[in-house]
Amino acid sequence: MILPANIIDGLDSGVVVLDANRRVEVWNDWMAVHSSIAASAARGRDLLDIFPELGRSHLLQAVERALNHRLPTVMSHNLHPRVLPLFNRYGASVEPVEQSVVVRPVADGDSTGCLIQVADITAAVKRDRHLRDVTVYNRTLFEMAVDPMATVDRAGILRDVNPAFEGLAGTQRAGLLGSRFDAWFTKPVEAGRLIARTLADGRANDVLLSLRQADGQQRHVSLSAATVPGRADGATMVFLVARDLTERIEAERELARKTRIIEQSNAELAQFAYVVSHDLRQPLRTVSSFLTLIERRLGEAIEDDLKEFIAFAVDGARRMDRLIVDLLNYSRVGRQDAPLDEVDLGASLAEAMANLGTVVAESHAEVAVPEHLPRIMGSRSELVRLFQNLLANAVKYVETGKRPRVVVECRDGGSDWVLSVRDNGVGIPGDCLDRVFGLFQRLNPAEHTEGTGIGLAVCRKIVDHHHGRIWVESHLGEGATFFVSLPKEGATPEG
Amino acid sequence: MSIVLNEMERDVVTELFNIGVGHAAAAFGELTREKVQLAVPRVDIVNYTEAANQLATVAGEPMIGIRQDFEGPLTGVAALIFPERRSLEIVRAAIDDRFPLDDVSELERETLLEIGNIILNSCLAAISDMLGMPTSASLPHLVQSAPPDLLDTLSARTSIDRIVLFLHIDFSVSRLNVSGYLLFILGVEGSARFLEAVRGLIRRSEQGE
Ligand SMILES: Nc1ncnc2c1ncn2[C@@H]1O[C@H](COP(=O)(O)OP(=O)(O)OP(=O)(O)O)[C@@H](O)[C@H]1O
Ligand SMILES: [Mg+2]
Repeated sequence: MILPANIIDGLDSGVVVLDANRRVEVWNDWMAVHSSIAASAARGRDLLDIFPELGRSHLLQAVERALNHRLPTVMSHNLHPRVLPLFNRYGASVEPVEQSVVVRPVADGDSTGCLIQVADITAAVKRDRHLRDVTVYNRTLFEMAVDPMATVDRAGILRDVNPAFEGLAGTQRAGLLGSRFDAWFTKPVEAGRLIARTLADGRANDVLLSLRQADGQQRHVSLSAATVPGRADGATMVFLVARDLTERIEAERELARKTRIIEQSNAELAQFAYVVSHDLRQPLRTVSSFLTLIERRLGEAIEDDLKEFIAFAVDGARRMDRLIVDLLNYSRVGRQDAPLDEVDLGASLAEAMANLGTVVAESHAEVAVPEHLPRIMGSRSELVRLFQNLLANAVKYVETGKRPRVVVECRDGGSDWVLSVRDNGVGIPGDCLDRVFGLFQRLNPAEHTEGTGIGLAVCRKIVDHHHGRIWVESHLGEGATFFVSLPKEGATPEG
Repeated sequence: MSIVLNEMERDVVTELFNIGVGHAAAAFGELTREKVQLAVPRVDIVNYTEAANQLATVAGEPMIGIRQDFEGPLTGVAALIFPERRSLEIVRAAIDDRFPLDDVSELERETLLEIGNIILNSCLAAISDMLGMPTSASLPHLVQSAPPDLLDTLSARTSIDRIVLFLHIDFSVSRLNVSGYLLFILGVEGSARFLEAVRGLIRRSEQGE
């Protein structure tokens, strides 16, 4: 029954045969090499003698079972990793042998002996551990991912989900696994088509679907899917990543709603502006045209001062018409119909000065302007208005009797041009530097009665429209400097 | 041919196997530090066709079996059968694996083999000791098959006239409950001898009282 020694010694696994008294009868070369105990030294000895550490070990129990009950025992590596103290030696390095052991009864003459077979499964154990490490690593990534992920099999059944997916579905893993993937969506047919298309094409990107949570709430998701290639069992799985767009879609809807309201009020404003301009300007036109008629009727006979009065009246009507037009223009600052052009800031400043002609002249102001100003993309009329408002303020808010001195400058601020308008006026208290840009905000209405408090609000609106910035630096009593920075690229027309 | 157990005999056989799996449970507890409970709630002695029918009622789920052949006064095939998927859960609970791999590894199969080996050995040892029928066994190996064919895989088709000891077994380890089957496929003579030994045991215990 016992194989010839040369065959047993040639085996690539450990073979030990014990007699009915547990004494070693066979101890093959593999055992000698891995235990460092020669066959000659082992033969005839009780196994427990050779390995005293075995004590009441499972191996000894298995040996008893084989000898007394003639029953075989499998000792799997998972439950008995290193049954015997055996080692692989590679040069200087020593590594324990991971073992899988089988103990079985063998006939030994009239009595029953026992065969212990030891297989070296170190390589398999290492491979298994490596595979396990990879699995743990991938599992961790999957579990920690912020985006919901799931795998679905060929039949459309959910096979795996990560915690983010549980959150998305508002359902625990147990309630998801084994359920139909498409049944979770408000449009099951489309969800099913996504799986079918992925199976056919290998992948599908950004499919928008609405998932219905267990409590009936809907989540809008964008799904991307791909088949999992090269699985060992050949079964095709679909791997899905979802992106929860609910918040974004709801925000977009809210934005669209607000935009609609704004558009509506803009339309109302335009209507209002039309009515105002039409209804206010019509009577004014009547006044000035009839004044002109009166002047013509009176002909040469007209006295000089009467002529002058009429001229004042016509001028007043014209100024009022301008005012109305300006008021309309204020309300239109930044509106799409304001044309964007290449604008020469120097020309705009000159035009503003001209518009302010009498104001500046009456105040005997001294205004210094730079010789050269850059050109930018913008709205000419708005930029004229900007300069005009700033200059008007600069000459207006000065102690009575003091001669206003205004300096306009422009410096290169890298990507911007920074314009400044400096005056020697009353200045602005530190806590009002922001407030002055508000609509109808006036600091000393009693002292300077003229004005409505719109000027700087309009300036800010214009600067905003040009994607620039406006601010003021000042100390009470020491004049004020208004700064405007405008991007060199100019205002890009918005869609 | 059919063999009918009376109430008393059925109780004794059930008790016999419960003692066997009780030893197996103790052995597991030692190996895994998990609390393992095993119970055999019912035993039937049926013929081969009935056994095949009983197995077929288990919905088409793939089953896995651990088989050991035994010989001595009793000769036949012993097998422990579980639904394949559940058997893996047993292994993973036994080795406390919190990160199982997708596929069954060789090492896990080997552990399943050992689990079956422990249960079958314990039952065979109980038969040997209590019925005085010294039965030796071969090494265990795994058989995998769908239920209708499983029995044929276990025991060649030619053995239609065989008698099957059909046992239900409940296995629970750390909150996991799995039900399976224990089959002992015996020859006609063997089963008569088995029954005789059971009756002998009953007589002896009655005399002992
Ligand atoms: N250069 C300045 N120096 C001191 N205070 C100023 C200066 N510019 C503006 N202010 C203060 O800021 C307030 C708001 O100015 P804003 O130009 O908006 O309105 P306004 O000049 O009063 O009226 P209008 O709408 O006719 O321009 C002014 O009332 C004034 O108190
Ligand atoms: Mg002003």
